[in-house]
Amino acid sequence: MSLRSIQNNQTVVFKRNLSFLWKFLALDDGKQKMERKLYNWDESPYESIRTRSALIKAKALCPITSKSINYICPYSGIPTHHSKEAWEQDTEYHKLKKYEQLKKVNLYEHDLRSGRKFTEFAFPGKQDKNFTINLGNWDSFFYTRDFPPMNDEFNLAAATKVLTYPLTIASLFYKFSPYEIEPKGPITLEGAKSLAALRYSLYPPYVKSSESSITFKDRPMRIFIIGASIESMIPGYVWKQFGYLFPNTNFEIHFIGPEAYFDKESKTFQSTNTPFGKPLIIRFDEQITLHHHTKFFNEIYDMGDLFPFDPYLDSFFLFHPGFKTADQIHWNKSLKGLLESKCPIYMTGYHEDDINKEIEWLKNHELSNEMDVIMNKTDNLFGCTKLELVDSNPTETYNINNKIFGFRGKRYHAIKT
Amino acid sequence: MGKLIGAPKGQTRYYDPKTHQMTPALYRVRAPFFWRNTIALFLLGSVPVGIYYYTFHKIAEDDFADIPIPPISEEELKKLKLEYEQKKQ
Repeated sequence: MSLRSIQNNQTVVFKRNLSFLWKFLALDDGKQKMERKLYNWDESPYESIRTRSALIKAKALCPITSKSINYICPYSGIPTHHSKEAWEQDTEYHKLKKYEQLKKVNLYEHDLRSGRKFTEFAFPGKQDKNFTINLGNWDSFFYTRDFPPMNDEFNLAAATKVLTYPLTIASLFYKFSPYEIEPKGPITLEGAKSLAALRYSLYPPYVKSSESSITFKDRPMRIFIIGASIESMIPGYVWKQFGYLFPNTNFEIHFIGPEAYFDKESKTFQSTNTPFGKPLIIRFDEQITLHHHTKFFNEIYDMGDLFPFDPYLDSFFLFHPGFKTADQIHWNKSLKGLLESKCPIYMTGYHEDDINKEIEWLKNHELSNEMDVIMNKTDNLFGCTKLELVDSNPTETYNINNKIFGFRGKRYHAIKT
Repeated sequence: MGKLIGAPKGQTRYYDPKTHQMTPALYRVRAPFFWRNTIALFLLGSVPVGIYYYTFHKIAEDDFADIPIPPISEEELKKLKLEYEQKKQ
């Protein structure tokens, strides 16, 4: 054996020992970079991606030349620019390495359609009373709730896309919520009052004799999701994961908005066509019922079917409301009802700019002085980790539920004089 | 008994079934606690280790000077020395 080969052998042994040390110190996460095949969206094996590529080409404009999009970025496989020259001229695109984000979008979209075994959707059942759930972040939640391990970003992307809606709500209501009161966290004093009221119903005080106890839970807790679209497609067993976090409370989840019901047969958002404008009720089990109202909130509010609102039992969630879009007239009318209910209202945004736009709309609204901020703008710990693409501007990416903000109608307490 | 059929339940799933190494998911779960826990390990571990070394140091210092040696006459001493020398050879 030559000297060199001995030396080589030694370095191999040395490396192996070191790799054990690195592993022990958690400096090597054991991730074996597996290269996935990157498809051009025009040549994708899945028809839905090819049509989406065509849609981008038809709708979007090149950020440099403002002409139609014809060139597919070779790094990401997504149509982004008018021509190769324009792609080369887009210094911002290359400087900020936007193509890396777009490449992820491409890989996620193909992964979801690949038909692999989606082990992440093997959801756990009831939580054992002896094990506390940690809602500090996604990983702690999955571990303490006994989900299958989400080993790579593709597992996380698929699982968080459906779980982001129930978990965003749960992380606010939960006894050991990760959001703290000001100045340590984003919850304001008014917000703490609202959450305290809800937690009073979720975790009622322990009373020994049944006579003196007052039952506040004479009806289930209601969660209103206004302007629902994808949320209404989420099946009951995903909402049941929300139920497992609060096993002693019954919930009604109300989806309100023209896209609040997804018909599985026609594969479109439809009106429920129930008589007298009643909601379509889907009962998942004795704890969770899903109510689909396919009208705008202001119409339902005017009919008075949902009265009375109780800040101890009701809350509103506006996932990506889009106040300034075509529905602005309806939001204008709905806001009055939302503020009158005095129930907490939480909304989410796709990214910093998006939520800033929404907050600005609220602040410039004529009802803005009847509004209290109950939660300052902050990163949503349970946002979706899957990157999404804006079809009308394919160099822009976003995450669902990335930011969160809360407000409520002002409450005035009786003061002794 | 061989392996049970179906996905194993419980936190054992967070270890690789063949190599018994931690999965990337478990590394991420552990990450926020790792450094503080390691520091705590060394801080708490330093207490018994410190006590051990202090005791060792204290014992090594002792030359047993405080133990009284019985008095011995000059003649007796010469006799003993002679005996000792003889044994040596």
